[in-house]
Amino acid sequence: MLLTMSKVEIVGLKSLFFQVLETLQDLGTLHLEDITKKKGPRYADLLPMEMDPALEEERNLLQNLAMRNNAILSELAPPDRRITRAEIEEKYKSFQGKTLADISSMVEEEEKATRELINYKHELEVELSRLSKYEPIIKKVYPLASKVTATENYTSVALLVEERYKQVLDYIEKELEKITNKQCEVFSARVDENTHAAILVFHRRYSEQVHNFLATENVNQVRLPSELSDKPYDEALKEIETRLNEIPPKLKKVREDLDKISEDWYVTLVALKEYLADRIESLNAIPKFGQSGHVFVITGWMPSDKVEEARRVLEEKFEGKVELTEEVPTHEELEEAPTALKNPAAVRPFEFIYMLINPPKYGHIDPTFLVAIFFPILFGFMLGDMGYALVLLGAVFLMKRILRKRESRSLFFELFANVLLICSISSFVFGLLYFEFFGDLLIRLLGWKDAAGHMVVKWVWGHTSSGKPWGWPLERIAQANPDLFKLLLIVVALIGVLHMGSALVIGLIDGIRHRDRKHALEKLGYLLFVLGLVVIFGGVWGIKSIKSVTMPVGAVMAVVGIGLAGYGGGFGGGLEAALTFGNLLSYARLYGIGLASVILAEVANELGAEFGGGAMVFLGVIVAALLHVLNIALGVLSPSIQSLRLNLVESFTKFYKETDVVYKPFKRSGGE
Amino acid sequence: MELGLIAIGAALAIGLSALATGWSQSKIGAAMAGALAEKPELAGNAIIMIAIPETMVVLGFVIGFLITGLKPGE
Repeated sequence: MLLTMSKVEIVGLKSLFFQVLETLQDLGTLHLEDITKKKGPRYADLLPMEMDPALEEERNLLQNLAMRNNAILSELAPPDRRITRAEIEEKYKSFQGKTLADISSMVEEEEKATRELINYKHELEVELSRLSKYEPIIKKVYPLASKVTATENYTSVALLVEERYKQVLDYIEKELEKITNKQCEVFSARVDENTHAAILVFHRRYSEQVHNFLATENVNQVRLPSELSDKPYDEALKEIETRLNEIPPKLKKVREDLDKISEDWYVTLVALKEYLADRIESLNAIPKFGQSGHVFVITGWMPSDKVEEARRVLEEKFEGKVELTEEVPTHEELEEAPTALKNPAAVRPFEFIYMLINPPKYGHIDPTFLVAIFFPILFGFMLGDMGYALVLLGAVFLMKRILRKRESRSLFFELFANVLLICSISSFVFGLLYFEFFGDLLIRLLGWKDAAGHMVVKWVWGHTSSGKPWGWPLERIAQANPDLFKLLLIVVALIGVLHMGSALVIGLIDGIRHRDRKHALEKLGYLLFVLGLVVIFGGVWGIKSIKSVTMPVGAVMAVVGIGLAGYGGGFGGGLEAALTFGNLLSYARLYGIGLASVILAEVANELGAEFGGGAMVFLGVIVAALLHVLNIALGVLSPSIQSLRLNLVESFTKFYKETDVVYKPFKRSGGE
Repeated sequence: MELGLIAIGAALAIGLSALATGWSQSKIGAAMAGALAEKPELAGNAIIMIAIPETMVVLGFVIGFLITGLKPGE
């Protein structure tokens, strides 16, 4: 159902404006309206409130402080102890009396305490990351470099060559001798399975020519950090190794120091983050309000049961200087009223549907309860299997467990997990009706099949026109009994009549409530047409003795229905009424998809059984299990989508009116 | 009617409608995938749009099953 909303107007002295705004934010129930977009004589004399330069400056300062505070917060790990909401609230309240200068100096103090440590931590992390890149190279080249003793006039270059190209080193050595007039030495060794390392030592005066030569030959040179590039290889590598050993303990110490700071400051920083975000949001909302002379005007919507509380709080706090009045909304204003859903816990998971489409418009009926009734029925009818239901139940509990562990949870998946939980129960109930447990596994084990391979009816409920019994278990693959197929088709059509009929009744009630005669007549026409079809087919397939009466009565109902729908909705309405027959047939998918699922399950069992006895049984079980897993995956996906489709296309299109105005109360943001 | 003709009739009813559904869904699916990349909030509409042509195969299935219920000679 939808929460009943009241349109409210809050008028008060301008001097109290910010205190009122803070109070409203604390109350967290008012959905603000933009008064500048309001039309009509009531708002003609009102001017929009403006952000004067002082307020603009305040907002800039707040944004700057928020940015600096958040930057510090992002560097601190939360303390090990559990932080309670009450602690943050207490701290938050302590900011409310403080001036911006106080808060500014507090942020400066935070920065002073942390800036040096944070900068030092960053430096160490950057250096560690940079030097770590040299680590694998060092490990390869260092044993060789330690053998090289370079003098002042000599420099060196290290090369890494793939093992399969090691002959290239001979070529390089020859070329180097030519360039340097034999004032060079090459040390090389295999350093691992695939790599050969080499160090070329040569006189400094040939440095440029050697580097040019190596560049043109596209040889993989080992480059050292710039600050070490002048040093001989062995020294440079030694220094890198020393630094790599020194950094981790230093980093550990800095992190410990920051953790100590976090212990003292974390609650303050989080509370300040929330406080600053709320102040900024308040200032951002200012242009939505109106002003006139000495007073400000705020308009919006709040749940009707919260109006009295808001009025009392404002009265007590501002001693009559601020007044909240409940307005009677005009028809146009009602069109813009925000929607807020409030459903019982069992129905709430089905609100997931409003993450796929917009929620229902205010003043119309919330169809969540209809989805909550029919979605599981449609799902269960298709995936009616006790074994699959148990697997689905297990998967849902696993999904919920995984979701609980995640920090950022998706509301959609949380709701949908509960939907699947309810659907698995429905699937089990239908599975019991069909007596299906991983297809016909239980039937096979109990030997409830006749010589032709058809299920034996254990509890006869009646006989079809061809004289064959039907009852429990209700066989879905009714090849031997085509009348049973007809019966199941009638059942799905009846489910469709109930589903669509409920939607049409909602549409009819909606039309009557809004005094929209044509809308109501259109829906009544559809309903009459559908009921006419039920009467006609009731005579054809049901009570045949009264066929002569039901046929004309049903036909008249259907024709009158089309007429009424045409009167209410024009040519399109009349056509739509006739097409409702197609909507009803669409429910045959319930049977079709269910049939596909059960046939695949039986194929899995049959294939498993084909492997025969002995050691092959194990293989048969694996084959059957794999096919069942595939069938479960398809069996969950397809009925979910088809149930969704039947709700959205066959049911919702008959009455649903959506809106994009969702109730968003002006409240503390929680720092977001 | 001959049993073979009944079987062919049923196969055509379900087969052709399945092809039609598949072809429509491929067109709609590709268009909706493009639309979703731009506007993820259209997910609900996408499901509806893609699921609409399925009515064809469902009707084909019903007709197919009804045909198989016919007895040779009827």
